[in-house]
Amino acid sequence: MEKEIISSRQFMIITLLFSIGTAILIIPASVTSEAKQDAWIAAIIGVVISLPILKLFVALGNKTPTLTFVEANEKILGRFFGKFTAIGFVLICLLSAGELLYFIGIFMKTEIMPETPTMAFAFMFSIIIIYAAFLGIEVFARSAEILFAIFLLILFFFVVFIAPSIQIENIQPIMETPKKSLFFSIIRFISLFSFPIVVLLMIFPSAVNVQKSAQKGFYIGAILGGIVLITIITLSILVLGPANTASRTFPSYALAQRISIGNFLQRIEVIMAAMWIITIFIRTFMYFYASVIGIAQLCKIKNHRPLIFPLGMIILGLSQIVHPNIIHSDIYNRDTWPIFAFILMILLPLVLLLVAKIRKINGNQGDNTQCISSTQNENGSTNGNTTQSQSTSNGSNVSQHESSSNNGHNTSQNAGSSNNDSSAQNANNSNNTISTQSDCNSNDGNATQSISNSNNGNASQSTSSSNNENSTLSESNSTAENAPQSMSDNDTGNTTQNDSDTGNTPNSDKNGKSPDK
Amino acid sequence: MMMAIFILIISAVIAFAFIPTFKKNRETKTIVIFSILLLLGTALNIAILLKVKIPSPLDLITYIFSPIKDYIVSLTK
Repeated sequence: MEKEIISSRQFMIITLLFSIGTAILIIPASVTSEAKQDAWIAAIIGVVISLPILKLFVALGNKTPTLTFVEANEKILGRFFGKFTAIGFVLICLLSAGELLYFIGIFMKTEIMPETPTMAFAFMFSIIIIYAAFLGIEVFARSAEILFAIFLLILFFFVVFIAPSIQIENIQPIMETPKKSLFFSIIRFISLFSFPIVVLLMIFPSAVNVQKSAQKGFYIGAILGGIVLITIITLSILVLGPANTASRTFPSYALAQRISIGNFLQRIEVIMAAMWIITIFIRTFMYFYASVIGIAQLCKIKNHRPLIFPLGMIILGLSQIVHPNIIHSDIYNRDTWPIFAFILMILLPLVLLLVAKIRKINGNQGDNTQCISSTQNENGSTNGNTTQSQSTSNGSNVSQHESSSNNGHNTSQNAGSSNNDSSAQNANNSNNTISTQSDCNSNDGNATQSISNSNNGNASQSTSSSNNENSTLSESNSTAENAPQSMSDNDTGNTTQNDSDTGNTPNSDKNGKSPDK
Repeated sequence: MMMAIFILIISAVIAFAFIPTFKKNRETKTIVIFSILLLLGTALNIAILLKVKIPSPLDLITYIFSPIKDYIVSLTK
């Protein structure tokens, strides 16, 4: 299976749309039913509470930077218990994917096309999901970028058009709800908003090119998603009123129906519905993709693509049987889902993190020892990234380079950023003349180089300070043997990364610079 | 009934499209898992189309977690 890498910006967009997900459709009702007009306070507290949860996910991701969540389970908890918990995680993903297909079906059936069976919508939607999963995460990430622009545009018009019908007395009196119902509202909010973000750990450390800016993207995406949800909840309370919001199944749609600008611009709710169809698509895809990858990694199958069709049929079937009616789904989402999700999505990462701390599993050491294993390419591709993200890991890397090569120059360069590191590694490779390792090593070096190229560009886009560091260190880099090496590697980097739109321009930038050094 | 046959045909097409390549690469484990999942999916869809009553898998989960939920609710009262 070839390694698929997405950029950190694409990851941020996926996080944003994923965290909005189905929540945009159903959260206003479930939060407002308890907290009444103070639901927006509950939403704000919920977003703040989800920050430590995000911190937990990022910490777990840093423990195992080259593994997905399912692999991390097996690595940290051991083979037996790890398989057990991973099956639980795959199961929750699969069931949720089926549930979301049910949601899209029931939404279209109740609001737009009442005569059509839900199976038809679920079938059409599952075809999109299967097709996207077949094309892979890279294509999906690029489509998410396009959909994100549409989403933002529609959201902007939505907020602007609904603003005239705001009645401020709907939100008064403020802070009247008792603490208990506020607590339940917050639980419901974070169970739909921030618990499922753990699914992104299936792609977060292992399939993202720059981990440091991806971490930032993780926080930014989730917080922006939370702000969108807060906006939607506040607007539905302000426009519909708390009682009306709570009694609706899909308050956001009812909100869109209220749009009426001068009795002229009205009944545009179907266009607005594109907004949550986009977010539900992103979330369903991520659940489905996580379950496909999860099952493939559980059973140690190298290529996950063949599993897509059978699993697609299964989620299509599941979408018809998970909820016999909407009451069932309401009760499930209110009572069972928070506990179910808490155990598999919060408690499990917490346990993993604690066990990893106790067993002293650190991702980078794992990389170095696993150098000979079959996952060589994957390790190599993120090796540079991990050194960039964690300063402590540099120490271990330096020691490795010292042992593998007798070039003192390289080790002195090593303490710098990932760019430097990878070039030093290349130099090592050129020195290494062991026949058995040369194949795997050159592969490794190439992978690191090409990825760190795109990294470099991205990092310079987001943080200027790291860029500075890079340039200063690469000046000291100017040995005779490094310059031609890095040039040739840049070329390979360009050819391999040509199809990804973000990696392209930084590469050519770097190509122009590298002869100067 | 027609739809059930249609589903069977789709599954057969998927099976014939994928299994020969596995056989060529000698991936027995993939064949086994692929077949199990495909059989599950086909059976599920045919049962739905023939309107067989299938209990929701979420009912089982609700049954497992309802004591915890009752405990939490009793704490807050």
